[in-house]
Amino acid sequence: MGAAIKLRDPNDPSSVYIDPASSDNKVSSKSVNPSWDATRGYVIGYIHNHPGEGSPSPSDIFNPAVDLLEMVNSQNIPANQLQNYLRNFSSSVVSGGNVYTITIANAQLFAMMTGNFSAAQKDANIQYQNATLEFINRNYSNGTTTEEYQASGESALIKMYGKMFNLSKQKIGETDRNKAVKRDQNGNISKVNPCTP
Amino acid sequence: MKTLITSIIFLLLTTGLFAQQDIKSKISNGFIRDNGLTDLKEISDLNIKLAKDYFGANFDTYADRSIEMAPNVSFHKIDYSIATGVQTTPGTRTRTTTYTTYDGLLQLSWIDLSTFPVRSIEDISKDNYRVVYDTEEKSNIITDYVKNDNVEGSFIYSKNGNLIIFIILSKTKPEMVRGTIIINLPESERSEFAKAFIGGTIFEPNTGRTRTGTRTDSTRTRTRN
Repeated sequence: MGAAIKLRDPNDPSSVYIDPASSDNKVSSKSVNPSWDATRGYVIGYIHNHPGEGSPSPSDIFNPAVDLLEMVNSQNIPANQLQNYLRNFSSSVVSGGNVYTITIANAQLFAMMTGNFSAAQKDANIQYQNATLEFINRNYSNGTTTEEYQASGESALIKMYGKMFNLSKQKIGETDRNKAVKRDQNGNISKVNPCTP
Repeated sequence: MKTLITSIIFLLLTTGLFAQQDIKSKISNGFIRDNGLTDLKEISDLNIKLAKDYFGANFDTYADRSIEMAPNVSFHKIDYSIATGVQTTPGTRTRTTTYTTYDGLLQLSWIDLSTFPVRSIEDISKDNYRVVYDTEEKSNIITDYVKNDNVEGSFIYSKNGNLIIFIILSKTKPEMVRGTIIINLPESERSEFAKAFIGGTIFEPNTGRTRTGTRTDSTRTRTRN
């Protein structure tokens, strides 16, 4: 189950609304159709759930995103709209009692990967599965709780694409406690207050 | 002494070598011929080569694929040969079997389960394979169990990729090995290979027996993929 997040006015980032939820908005498949035009809508992000309680996967970062390079090349998008998009794009995943939010960290790298993702998705999925299992094999001897399983996926995803995106996580019901998800050089995951310098 | 320690640390850092588990003292398996690769660059190069060969133009050029060390993990280069035909040399009785050999990268982790409650292979598999079920369409997933007098194991892979994930439980000791194999086998050969790998594992230290995959052909012609 998921829904697109759109802008009524591409020049106004506060004109946000959410499309009706649809069970077709699975970001793991190609049913997500990011767009940036008056006909299909100015899609600034997606929100959907993970019934399997896993953390975001590569598909959750790149499938909901507009191909920025194509958008810039073909549509002559005004600079302020491009800025609105880069600053406000988000992909949100509701999973296992938490809400994850993905935002763009490095626009250039993010744009290059997004343009390449439909071709590279199968490879990306395999890498993600392998990196998640590497983390599980290193750290958990006999099964994983939901939090441990999520930490394994977080570590894998940040290892693979950590330069391109920001990841934050918040427990449902805990207001004002959104935490930035960080990975250290040993692969371990920590949650830090995003306002901490 | 300070200089000596600094020099050792420098050498370890610059050569990219790392310590890993002593897997040969834990299990024997015909596909595992040594205690593992220790050169991070060699492991990384093999990992990238296998992905490029398999995915071709659809190789993900932007992901960080670096290999990370851990004391309870070992990496091994393995290979698997598939007979592709038999040729008879004209005018002689000499028969030549031709094989295609596929290289692979095995990542292995041995675990002592003596302090944990006993769980079935089905229960452990369901838990460990969550990431595959969460990221692949069900119709693309192949999974199966392998059981013999020594082990109970399982494997899973996606038709979309070159990754085989496995778990092997000893039937005689509270021990488990689990890991992954990246190998560019044709889809029709993957399950056979996974079954041979799992079924050929023995949880007895340093036995040096049962080398799965050995052949008796007197003459072989090989190609390597």
